[in-house]
Amino acid sequence: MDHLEAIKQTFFQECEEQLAELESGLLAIENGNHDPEIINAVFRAVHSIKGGAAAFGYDELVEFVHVFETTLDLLRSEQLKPTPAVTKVLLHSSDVLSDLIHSVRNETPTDSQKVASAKAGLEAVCGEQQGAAPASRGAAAPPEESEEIDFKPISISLDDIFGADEEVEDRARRFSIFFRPKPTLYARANEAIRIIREIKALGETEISCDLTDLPLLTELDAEGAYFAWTISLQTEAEASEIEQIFEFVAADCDYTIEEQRVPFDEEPEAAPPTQPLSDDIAQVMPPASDFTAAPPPPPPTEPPPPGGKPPASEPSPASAPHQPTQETIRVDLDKIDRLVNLVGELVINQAVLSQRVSEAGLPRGSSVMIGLEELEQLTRDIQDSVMAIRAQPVKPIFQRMSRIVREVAAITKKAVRLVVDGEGTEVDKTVIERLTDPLTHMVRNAVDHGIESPEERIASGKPEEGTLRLSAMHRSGRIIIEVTDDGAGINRARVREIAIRKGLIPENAVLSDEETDGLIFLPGFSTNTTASSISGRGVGMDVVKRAIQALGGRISISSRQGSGSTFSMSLPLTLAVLDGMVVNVAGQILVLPLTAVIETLQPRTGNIHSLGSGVRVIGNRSSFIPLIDVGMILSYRFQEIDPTTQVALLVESESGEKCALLVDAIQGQRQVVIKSLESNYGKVPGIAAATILGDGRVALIVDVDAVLSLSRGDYHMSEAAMEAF
Amino acid sequence: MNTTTGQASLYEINLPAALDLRAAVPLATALLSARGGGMRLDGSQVKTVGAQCLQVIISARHTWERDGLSLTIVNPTEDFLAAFADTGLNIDSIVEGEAAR
Repeated sequence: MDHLEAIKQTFFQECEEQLAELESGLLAIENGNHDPEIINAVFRAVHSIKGGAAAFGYDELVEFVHVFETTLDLLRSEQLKPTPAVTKVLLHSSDVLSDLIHSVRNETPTDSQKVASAKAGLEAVCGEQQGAAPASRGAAAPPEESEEIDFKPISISLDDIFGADEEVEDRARRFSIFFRPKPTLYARANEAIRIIREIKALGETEISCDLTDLPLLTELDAEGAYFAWTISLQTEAEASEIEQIFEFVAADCDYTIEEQRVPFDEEPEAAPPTQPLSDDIAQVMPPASDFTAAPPPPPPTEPPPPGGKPPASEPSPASAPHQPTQETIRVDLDKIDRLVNLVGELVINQAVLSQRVSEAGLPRGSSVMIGLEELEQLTRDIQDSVMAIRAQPVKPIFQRMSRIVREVAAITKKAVRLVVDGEGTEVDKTVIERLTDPLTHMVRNAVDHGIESPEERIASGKPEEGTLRLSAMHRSGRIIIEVTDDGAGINRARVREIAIRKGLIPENAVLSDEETDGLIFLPGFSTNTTASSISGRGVGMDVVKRAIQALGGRISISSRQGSGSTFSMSLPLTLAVLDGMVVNVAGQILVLPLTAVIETLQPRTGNIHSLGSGVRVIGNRSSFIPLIDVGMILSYRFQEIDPTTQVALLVESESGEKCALLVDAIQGQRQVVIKSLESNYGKVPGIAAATILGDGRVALIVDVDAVLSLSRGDYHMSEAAMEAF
Repeated sequence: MNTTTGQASLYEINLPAALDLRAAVPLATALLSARGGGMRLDGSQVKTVGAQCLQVIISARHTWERDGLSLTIVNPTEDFLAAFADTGLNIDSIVEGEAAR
């Protein structure tokens, strides 16, 4: 990637962040939070995008963003009320802006009609406002576009004008602004000239460019920053307005804003003491008049220091120190992935070392064992830290869902409110990325199929507006994501009818409610008789289920007729490493995810009972739990062995179902690096993934829920259904 | 950006429409490769101007002067002139003809 392309990519990455900020702010505003800080943040997001887009010459994008920015500026200056109608327009414009950026980034054609429509919506909102109350300078539109505002005459009292003389004089201010960009300012696609022009738009200016640092062409870094400016500005604007211009580039330049209270009619003082030219430069430079402004601006009180941002003469909003921000760097994901892989290898090697030392029979208190334990702890800390780098909150994906809800609700003419919980919950970036498609499908389904039309809801005594709740939480080392709607719930009779009609189940099949709900995950199942623009895109819930399973996750449904449905996904936090319990089964070594294991039991003859048809249960604290022989389920052996010679692991499935898994022996707990079995070999029923043990052998990682399903025969039903399909 | 060689000691570069951050490096490279003769920069196509390109042009102007050669801008557009004015740079001595007035 060349340097320019890298800058572009940075711009687009920043656009993504700004879009997230924009949408998040607009949603907060929609929910009644009209905090000025939120409105400012929304404005800043759009303004930043505009700056970068202008630097790259993305004219169509700039044009749209400009209208958007103008509307937000009205909101910011409280000339536009954030009514539901206004926020709806803004949210729609945010979607269109996202599309526009996507088109620009991928060099695909834009939907001109959509853009024009959104622009018209924004202009209509501005127009309504202008009709209601003429805007003051700098508020109705950014200053440079003031000529675009229609002039509407208003009556003004002459007394006001004459009486205002003194006030005007009081408001007259002269600022001396020093501005020295750093190379990073340009590297982030900002443009010094744009900043100067924004300052110029505030009033009368005299600009002096300092060329002292400019080298000869042979020594010049064309992407460097050598110019510095001293700008004398005479304006009625507040210092804070000037400060806002620098807001987005504060970290990428040195600047000072110093106010000099000088009446308008007073002559400017002597020329500013720009930095003296070095003898060397002075020899090669043309006369100063060639490249510097003829009228010298008034001086700052002290010449700015050459290196950093000079201190302001007095505390003011303009010169107040910036809030310390958390320093961040952007790193290629490939580099992080390499690091994750290396840490995985480190974990494996540490396991190898542990095993070798253990085989050597060294005593526990020996210095080698102590050192090994420290190494183990260190390895775990490194691994946690590396995983934390990849961990990201689910907020961006949740925000994307709000757009899906808006779009589908608009198409289906339903009123739907999205409520989000736990958007700060963090999960591995890869999990987040691969979650987008299945979650989109589920949210789309929930609005399209789950929530009833406003008429139906009113008829059934529900509020006209449906609610879709999206929540994320950590539970037992996994992330649980739920999509809950308050719609009509799954129509089980209809689901059953469709499944029979499509030959997915026999007519006389006896299914529980949960099993009936599960039918919608079968390939080929669809309750839609006709394909709509929302559903029927060839993606069914079976694809969703497979996507979740491919992530090492599970999906379950809970539905109540008339009250709605909840689709719950349980996913691993990371796809890389797992805390496991290593067990022996029929001569094989298997790993069970430690998060699923509740406790270990020693089966005794008295507490094992047969229920007929080969089903056995084990008594545990006044309850009976199904006993499942892992060796039999996974076909490692075909004859049961005496349970009292085995160990039972009490496990809990994601749906909360408990059972006891019989294994031959427990080797211990260990951290294992997850290697995909599916991509390296193929899907194996009951097995989630594989790992490499300390001695180099491959061990399979058991999928506890799948083992439970296999023990119930669900898998066979599913297989039969697939064959039928 | 089009570099053409006219007479042995005179080069001319047609500046692109966008003298933005993307153009700074190619412009500097094109100028350096033509060092040794007089230089005319044709600004008739320029629409967008960034500070980095102005740095390159002014630096080149110094360099050419040191070499005892001329470097001038011909046919600058209004946008080009505005960029000079906005940045406090006096374009008069570098522009050929009436445009500088």
